[in-house]
Amino acid sequence: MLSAFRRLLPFGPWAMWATLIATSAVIVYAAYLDREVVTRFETRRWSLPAQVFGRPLELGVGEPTSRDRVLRELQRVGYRPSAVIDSPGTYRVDGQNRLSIHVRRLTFWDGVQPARRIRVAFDANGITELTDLDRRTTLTLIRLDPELIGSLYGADGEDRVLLQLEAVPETLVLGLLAVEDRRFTRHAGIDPGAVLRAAVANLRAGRVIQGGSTLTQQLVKNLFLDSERSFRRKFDEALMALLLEWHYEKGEILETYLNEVYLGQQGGRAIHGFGLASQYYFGKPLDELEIQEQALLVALVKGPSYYHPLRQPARAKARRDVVLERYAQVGLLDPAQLAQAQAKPLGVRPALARAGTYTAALGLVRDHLMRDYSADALTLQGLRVFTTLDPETQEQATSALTRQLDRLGQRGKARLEGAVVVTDVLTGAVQAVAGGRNDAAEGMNRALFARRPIGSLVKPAVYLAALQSGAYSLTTPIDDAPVTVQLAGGKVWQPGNASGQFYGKEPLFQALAQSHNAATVRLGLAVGVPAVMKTLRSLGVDANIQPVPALLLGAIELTPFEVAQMYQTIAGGGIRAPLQVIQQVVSPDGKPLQRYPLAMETAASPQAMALLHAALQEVVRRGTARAAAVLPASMEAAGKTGTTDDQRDAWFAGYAGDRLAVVWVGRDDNTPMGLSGSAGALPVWLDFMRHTELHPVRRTLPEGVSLQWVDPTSGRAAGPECPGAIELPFRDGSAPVDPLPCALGEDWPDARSSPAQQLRQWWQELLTR
Amino acid sequence: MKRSIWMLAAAIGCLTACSAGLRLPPTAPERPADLPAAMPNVERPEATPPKPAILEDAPLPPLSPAAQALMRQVEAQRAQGQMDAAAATAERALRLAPTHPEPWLSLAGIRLAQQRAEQAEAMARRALSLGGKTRAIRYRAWSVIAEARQMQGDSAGAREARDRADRDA
Repeated sequence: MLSAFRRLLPFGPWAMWATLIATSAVIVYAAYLDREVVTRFETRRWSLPAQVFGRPLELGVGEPTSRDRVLRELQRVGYRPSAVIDSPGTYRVDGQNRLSIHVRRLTFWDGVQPARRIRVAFDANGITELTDLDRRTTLTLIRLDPELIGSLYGADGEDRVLLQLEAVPETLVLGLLAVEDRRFTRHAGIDPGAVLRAAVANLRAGRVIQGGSTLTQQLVKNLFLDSERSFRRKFDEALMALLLEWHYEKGEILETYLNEVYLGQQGGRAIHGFGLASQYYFGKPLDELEIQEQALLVALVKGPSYYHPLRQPARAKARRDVVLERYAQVGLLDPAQLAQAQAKPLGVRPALARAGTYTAALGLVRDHLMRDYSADALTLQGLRVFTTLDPETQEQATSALTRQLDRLGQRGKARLEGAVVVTDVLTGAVQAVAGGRNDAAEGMNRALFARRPIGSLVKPAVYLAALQSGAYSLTTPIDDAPVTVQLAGGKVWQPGNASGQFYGKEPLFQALAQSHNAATVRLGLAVGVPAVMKTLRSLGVDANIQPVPALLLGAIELTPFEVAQMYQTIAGGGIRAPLQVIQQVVSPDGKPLQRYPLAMETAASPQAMALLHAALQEVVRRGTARAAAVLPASMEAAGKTGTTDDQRDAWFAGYAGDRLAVVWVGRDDNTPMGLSGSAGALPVWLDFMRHTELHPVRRTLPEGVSLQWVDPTSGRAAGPECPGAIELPFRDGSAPVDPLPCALGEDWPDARSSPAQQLRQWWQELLTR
Repeated sequence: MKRSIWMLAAAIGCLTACSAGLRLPPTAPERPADLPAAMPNVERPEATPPKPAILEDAPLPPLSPAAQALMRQVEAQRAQGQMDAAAATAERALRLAPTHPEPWLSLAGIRLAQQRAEQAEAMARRALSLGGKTRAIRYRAWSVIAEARQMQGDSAGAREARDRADRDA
C-alpha cells in the first residue's frame, strides 16, 4: 500500500491525497451500504397474502358423484395419472367404474387428513364404495384437495407461498444453480469469471444474451434496488452482494432467493418464489413436479413474460429444452432421460388460461374478510381461507356470460358488459361471482360495485306484500288500466307498460308473470308503499330505499350481489340466510381462527311464499321468461325479468332446483343498449342453468295452502279437464268459487274424462274383481 | 260378490254426499263455497283445529351412507358437549345433503341448545318445507318450533306449535 503511494509521489502530494480521500469515501460508502444490507435483510417482512381455497369435493358413499366429475376435479388440483400410485398426487383409472387415488395430506379447519391411497367404485348413480388401500378398510367419506383459487395480495401485488429450504426438491436447486450460477457454492457474492464469459458471449452475439449476475446479485437486485440500469447501480449491486455473503450463510441466501424470485404476472398479481409458481403454473405442490416441469420454472427466471408458457409456448418450450440440456451437461439427466423430458409438453394446468376467472369472487372474499381482519393481516400473515366458492360453477358462470355477451354482439359504441352471482338456494352459500366478461383483464367488479336501478326485479316484493296482507289471492282481479299518481310538488306520474298498451282486469299472478306496470302500481298503492318497503327490508335489502311511488316499478339501485341476497330469501321460501362465502379462516400452521356459521331467520310467512313461488314459476312457464321453460319441470324454475328506462339495464334473477343466479347486463357508461331483461340477461341465466348441475328441491306446500285448478285468463275455478287450466296454490278459503262450466261437468270437451265415463270405468273395474 | 255390492252402495252414498262430481275428498274438510271467508268466532269451535281425516305420511328418501356417517358424528359430538364442533359437522352434512330435512333438523336442535331460538325455528321451518309430507319430520320440526317459541317468551305460539306437533305424535 505504502509503495503504491510512493509511486504516486512523482505526481505530487495532491495525487496521494486525492487517492486517500477517494479510498476513504469508498470505505464510508461501503459501511453505509453494509448497514443498509443488514438492517433491510433482517427487518424485511415477506408479503404472505391470505390464500383462498374453493370448496373441497367430498367423495362420499351414496353421493351422486360421477367418475367423470372426480376425474375433472383431480385434473383441476394437479393430480397426475400414473400406473403406480406410490406418491401423493397420483391416480389411476381402473376400468370403467373404478379409480385409485393417492390423496395428498390435507389440512382443514377440523384437522389433518393424512395422505392415503384409496379406491373409489362407481355405478350409474354415483359412488358405491370407498376403500382405504393402505389399511384395507372401508371409508364412507373423504375430501379431495380444495383448489387454491387465489390470494389476497396487497398494493405491492406480491404473492407467494413460503417454502423452507428442506422442502425444495434437490433437482430443482441443483438445476437452478447449474443454469443461473454454477459457481454459487464457491464465489463470495460476485463471479468475475461469469461476468467475463457473459461479456464474451454478448460481444459475439452482438447483443445481451447472457447475464453474469450471481444468484446473490439477483437477490440484491430484487430485494434492495429499483429497476434503474446504471453503472452506479451495478456497482451498488456488486458491493451489496459481497456484503450479503459476508454476513449470511449460503443456505439462508438460497432460501431467500427461492422465495423471492419473480416468476410471473397475472393482472396486478406478481408471482414470487417457486412455491407459488408451482401452484400457479401446474396447480400442484413443488415436490410433485416432474423434472421437465421444474425446468420450465427455472427457465422462467430469465424472463417470465418473455417466456410465458401460454402466450409464448414455442419460446417457453425452446428455453425449457435448453435448460434440460444444461441439466444433462452437469449430469442431472442421462441422454435417455433428457430425450424423454424434452419430448414432454409444457403441461401447464388447463385452468391457467382462466386464472383471472376468480378476480370478482376474490374481491368478495376480501370484502367480507375486511369486516374482521386488517389489511396487513390479510397480506402479511399467510392466513388460509376456506370458502364456499365452487370452481366448476365459476367456470360455467363465466363462460355462460362471455358466450352470451359475444352472441349479443357489439350493439353500438361501448361494449356490453355483465355480471353473474350464483348461490345455493338452501344455504345461501356463494358458489360463483363473475364481475365481467372474461375478467382476466381485471376490469371493475360489477357484481359487487355496479349499483343500478333494478326495474321490475322489485315487483315480487310488491306482490309479496299484497299476499302477506291476506287480502289477496293469486287470482284476485287487478286492473291494468291507466293510473295517475299525485306526487309531491303537484306533479303527476302516469306509468304505462313497455308495449304502450293496457291489459285490463287480470288475475294477480298474471300481472306479475307478464310484468304489467299499471296493475303493479295499482296493487302497490293499495297495499301501501311503506308495506312494500318493509317487505324489501325483510327480504334482506339493506340499501337506501326512497319512500316514493316509483319504488313500485324499481326506482331503487342495487348491485347484482344485493339482488342475490333479496332473491335468496325468496328462493329459500321466506327464510333469510345472509349470503356466505367464507367458511373458516385458519392460521398458516393449521390452527382454526374463525368459523363463519350458517345463520338464518324467518322473513315471511311460508303460506305467502308458497303463493309467490307459484307466481314466479308462471313467469318462466308462460310469462316474460318463457324462453327458460325448456328447463326440466322438476327444477321448478322461477324468477323475474327486469328492464330499466330506455333499456340501460337488463336483469334476470331466478332459481332452478338448488341454484339461484342473478344476471345483470348493461354498459359501464350507462347508455341504452336496446335489450330488455328477457333478451339481454335471461339468455345468460338459461345458458348457465343448462350447463350446470341442478338438483330438485322438493317443496312441501305449507299447511293451510292447497292446490286448485283455475282458468289462467279469467281466474275462475276450473278442473283438470278444462282446456288450458293450471293448478295454483290458495290459502284455505281463498280459492275462486265461481266455476267455469267445464268444471261443473256441463260442457265436456273430452268425453273420455267426463264424470260419467269415470264412473263407468270404476264400475267395470268393480265387476271384474 | 256380496262385498262388492256393499262397496257399490258406499260409493253411491258418497256420490250423493259430494256435490261436484268425482273430485277426491280433500285432506282437510273444505268450507262450503257460499260461506263468508271470516265466520264469527261463536260459530267455530276454538283451539281445536279441524283434524284431518288421514295424516299424510310419505316415506323420506334415504340419506346417503356418507351423510349418515356425518349425522352420527354430530350426535357423538353433541353427547360430548362439543356444540361448536357438532354445528360444524352438521353444516358439512347439510352441504352434502341440502335438500334432505334430517341435517336441517339436526342443526335446528343444536341451535336450540345454543339458545339461538330464532335460528332454530327458521331451520325447523326449512325441514318442514323439505319433509312436510313425512309425519315424523312434522312432529320433530313442530316440537323444535314449540321450544324455540317458548325460549323467546311466546307462550301462545309455543302452545299452538305443541298442539300442532301432537297431531303427529
